[in-house]
Amino acid sequence: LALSLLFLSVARTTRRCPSSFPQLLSQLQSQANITGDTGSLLEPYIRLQNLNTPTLRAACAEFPVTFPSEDTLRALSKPRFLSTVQATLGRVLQQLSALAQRFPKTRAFPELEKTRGNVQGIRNNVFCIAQLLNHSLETPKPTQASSGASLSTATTPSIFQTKLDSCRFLWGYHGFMGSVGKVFQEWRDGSNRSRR
Amino acid sequence: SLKRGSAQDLKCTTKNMQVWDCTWTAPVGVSPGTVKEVCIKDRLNSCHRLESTNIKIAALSPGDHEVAINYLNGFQSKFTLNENDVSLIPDTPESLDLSADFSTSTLHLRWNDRGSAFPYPCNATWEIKVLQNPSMELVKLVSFNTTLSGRDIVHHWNWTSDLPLQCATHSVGIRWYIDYNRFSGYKVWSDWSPLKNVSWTPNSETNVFPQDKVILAGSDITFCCVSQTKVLSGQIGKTFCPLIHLYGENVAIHIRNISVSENSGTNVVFTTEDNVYGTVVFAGYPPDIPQKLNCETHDFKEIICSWNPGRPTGLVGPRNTDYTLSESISGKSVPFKRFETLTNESYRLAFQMLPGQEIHNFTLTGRNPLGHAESAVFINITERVAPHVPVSLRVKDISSTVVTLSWHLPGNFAKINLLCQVEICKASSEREVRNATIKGAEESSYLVAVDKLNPYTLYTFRVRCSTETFWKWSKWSNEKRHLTTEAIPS
Repeated sequence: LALSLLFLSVARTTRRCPSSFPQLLSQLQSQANITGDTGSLLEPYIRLQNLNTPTLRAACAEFPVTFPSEDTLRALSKPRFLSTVQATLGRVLQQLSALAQRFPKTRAFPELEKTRGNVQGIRNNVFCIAQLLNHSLETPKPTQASSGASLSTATTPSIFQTKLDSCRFLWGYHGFMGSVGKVFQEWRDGSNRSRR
Repeated sequence: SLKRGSAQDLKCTTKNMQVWDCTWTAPVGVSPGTVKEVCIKDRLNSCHRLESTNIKIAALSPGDHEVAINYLNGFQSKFTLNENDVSLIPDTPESLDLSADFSTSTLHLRWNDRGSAFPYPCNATWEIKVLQNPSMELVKLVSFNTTLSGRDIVHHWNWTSDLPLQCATHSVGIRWYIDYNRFSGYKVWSDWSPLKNVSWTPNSETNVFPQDKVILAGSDITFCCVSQTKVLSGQIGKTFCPLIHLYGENVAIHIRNISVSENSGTNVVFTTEDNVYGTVVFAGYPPDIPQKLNCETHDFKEIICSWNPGRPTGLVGPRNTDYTLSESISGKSVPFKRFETLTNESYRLAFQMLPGQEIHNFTLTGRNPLGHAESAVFINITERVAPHVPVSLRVKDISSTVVTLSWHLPGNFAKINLLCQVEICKASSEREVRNATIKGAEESSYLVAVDKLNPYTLYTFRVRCSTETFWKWSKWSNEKRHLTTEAIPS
């Protein structure tokens, strides 16, 4: 509970940034790890949409919506990495809002609201850490890999296709957050080594 | 002399009971093309010269008519012609238009009965067949009657297929026969009309049908999958179902007595070697009749109607029940705005009162994709007043034994009398309630005197109100503690 309050408090203050780089980095890393856990959003979604069969789980996992891969993220410079995370999470928020439209009873899917708060919190912290590093968060040109988090299809998809597409999106999102967490971990390890 | 021979295989048919079309086989030894003269003993005793062995004659009156065929080569054939032997075979019906509503798997057939060709009103019996391709399996045969009225009438026939129309080409044919009681001949079916086909143009996006269907819980339904590759399984929810082969790789599953879906619907999934196709079905109920519909006002400004939705429909979101409250005298109606994010939804609607209108005839209609239901209530709003809780209760000493109580009651009660109760409690928990009838007013404070109190005594007062034509009490106001003044020594 304390952690989610932390997200919320940071999210609320949006632009009052902690001044400690290690603290921010540690926060970002734990935020990423939490949001990388499929139990925080994908699993409740799978249960709610009755996708909890081997066939449908496989169908969900097989074609995840493409997000920037871990290697792609790791290869980016710090500024580009922060910008990519910021932009991708911006699109994630849009998709989560679209997803929320399809859930009339919010109390049936509270994890969605919590996730939106967490993602907003992460974006705030990314803004803060970029400020600390004097990096400007420019909007990166969408690399082929980073185009992720967009779900639009030409015709109006059926409800089943929408369920599956959303599932694939969430699968990709959790993967992406896991990768982000690892890169932040490497940042921490790097900064710990340089302090010794 | 005339060589006699009997006409062979004489057949007379009629399409419209006005013209008889007769054909016969020429006697042995006579070439069919021989010129002959056909004479009919009817009112006109008419004779017709012709070469063929076919003649169209005006319908003859009931009874036997002698017909003689005199061949120029000296042969003569005679036969007796009677309406009884004539077959009434109407023309093949012409189906004007066959269309399909794929979203509901409904076929619409339109055809013209050409009634103007029949001078007299008569019964027509139609038969329509629906075949499922490619096996041309008969999936539907229906017959019904209409009346020919001397005018051309276009008829319509709708049929909803169990199997989604997307999953097989369907062909429709129609035929008929006419039953005219004053026609004593044979009534024979027409030929079947040329089959008209209806087929779906597959697009790669959707393979399973019906898509996103809302159906009554407990009903049976067939789902089908259009596939280029072999379908390995079909399941509803977690239940695997036997695959019904249609044609090619298209398959279907049939579900009996489907159970109510969860909010997100029930997934129906077909799997092939390398893909998953699916649809979602929403099984639920039509809205229940709204129960305990109650309409009252707190302030004569708006009428609050509340109700109990009754049995849950199992359908939420865009398939949830929409309620509309309509009032017939004013002609006004108010939609119910649903706040699905609330934990427990409250079913209430506010209807703005029109000045001077006391009688209200309310109808509350609930509607969802499976149907609608309504409740009605007819009220005189002056008899349905449940005032707000009195506020700003104040006590003022008049004497050591008399005080006045004043309070504010939001609302416009100018047209009625209020009935209020004052509760007087003494510390010794003696409790007394006094009634007071007060002339109502608009957005007003009200005042009553309370006498026969004890001097220098601690009292607790509170007040509540209703109307003279009682409906409901308001809640009790907040309590007001008050110490009466000391008596002046006499």
